[in-house]
Amino acid sequence: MTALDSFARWTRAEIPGGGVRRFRVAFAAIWLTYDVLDLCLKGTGTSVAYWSGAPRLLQLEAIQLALIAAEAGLLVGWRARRCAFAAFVLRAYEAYFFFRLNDFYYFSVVALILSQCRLESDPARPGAPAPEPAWPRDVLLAQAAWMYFATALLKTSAVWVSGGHLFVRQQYLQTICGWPYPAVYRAFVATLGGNAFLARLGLAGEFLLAGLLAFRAPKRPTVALAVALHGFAALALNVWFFGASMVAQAAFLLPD
Amino acid sequence: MRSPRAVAAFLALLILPQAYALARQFRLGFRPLGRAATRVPLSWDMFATSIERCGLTWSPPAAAPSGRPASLRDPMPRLEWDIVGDSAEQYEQMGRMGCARAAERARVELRCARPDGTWEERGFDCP
Repeated sequence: MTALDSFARWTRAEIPGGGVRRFRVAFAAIWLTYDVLDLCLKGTGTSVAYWSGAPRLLQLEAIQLALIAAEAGLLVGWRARRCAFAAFVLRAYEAYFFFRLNDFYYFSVVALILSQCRLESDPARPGAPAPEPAWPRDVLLAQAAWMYFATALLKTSAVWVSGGHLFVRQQYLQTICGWPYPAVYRAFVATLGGNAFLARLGLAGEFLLAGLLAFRAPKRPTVALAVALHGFAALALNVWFFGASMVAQAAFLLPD
Repeated sequence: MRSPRAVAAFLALLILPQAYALARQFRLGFRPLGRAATRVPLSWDMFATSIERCGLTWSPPAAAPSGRPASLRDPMPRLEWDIVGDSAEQYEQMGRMGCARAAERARVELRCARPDGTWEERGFDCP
């Protein structure tokens, strides 16, 4: 069998639809929550209004409302493929024209891949998901592996390995934002040495997670490592939604 | 069901921009154990760039689209969102934007965490 035959066979292969459906629901729920909060609390809006003025804020709010509608459709499974594609277009627009945030680029890429899934119920078994083509699920996992590899590679710079980047973020959160770190942890991250230890641990964790995802290691240790990495990012660095989405990607898409 | 050709085209659409973005990081000077990455869309440079983060205050408080904050942090929710710059110079620029909206002459104070493990304080009077 040639490589082309294998590729063609891969594009025709099907898997049970349960995992993709669970990920669709989790992904939509996480980012729907994000966008509703973002709109109500004017998180992104305050930054945009600060830099660009109120007229741009109205445009942003229109995009956010449309995104909320697309994510709600994706969540309940109403024209889910179209909603996923609409979410991809809207988020890419938001990222390009309003706020160039890695989280938004991530969302766009994942929504685009999700839009290639079937995302339908099985006509023979009402309520049960239809089988899915295997390739979009495989691409979602490969995408996650690539992201962990690329971000780990870019963290091999002197400033990350020295702990400088984490020092800045954690000292800013503690001193300027009053982030409630425990006293022991505050003392640990007050120096570059403590931050360098955490930075190297994180770097190793991201490379390892990329490998675990790429080579389809057992699900449990892979998800545990993702929870550890993103749990740290949430509690210590105030990054909540992106991490939850990445954990859902590993937890629901990796085969049992 | 997508044809193998359509899947290949989709994969190319997905892979090429991301491969280009990572290659661009190297062209822009990123090196392992050397210079840090810069911000390049789709290169997945989260937490990999060299940054400074500053606390920025105006006294008396300056006018802003969200009210009259005494600090840049005031109008933001506690979780997830924040108005941030990547360098002390960007924070200075934000301070000056606050000055332009101030009804009375204010003093801008900055306290910046730096990646060499130090803090830097600077301030200026609004013109």
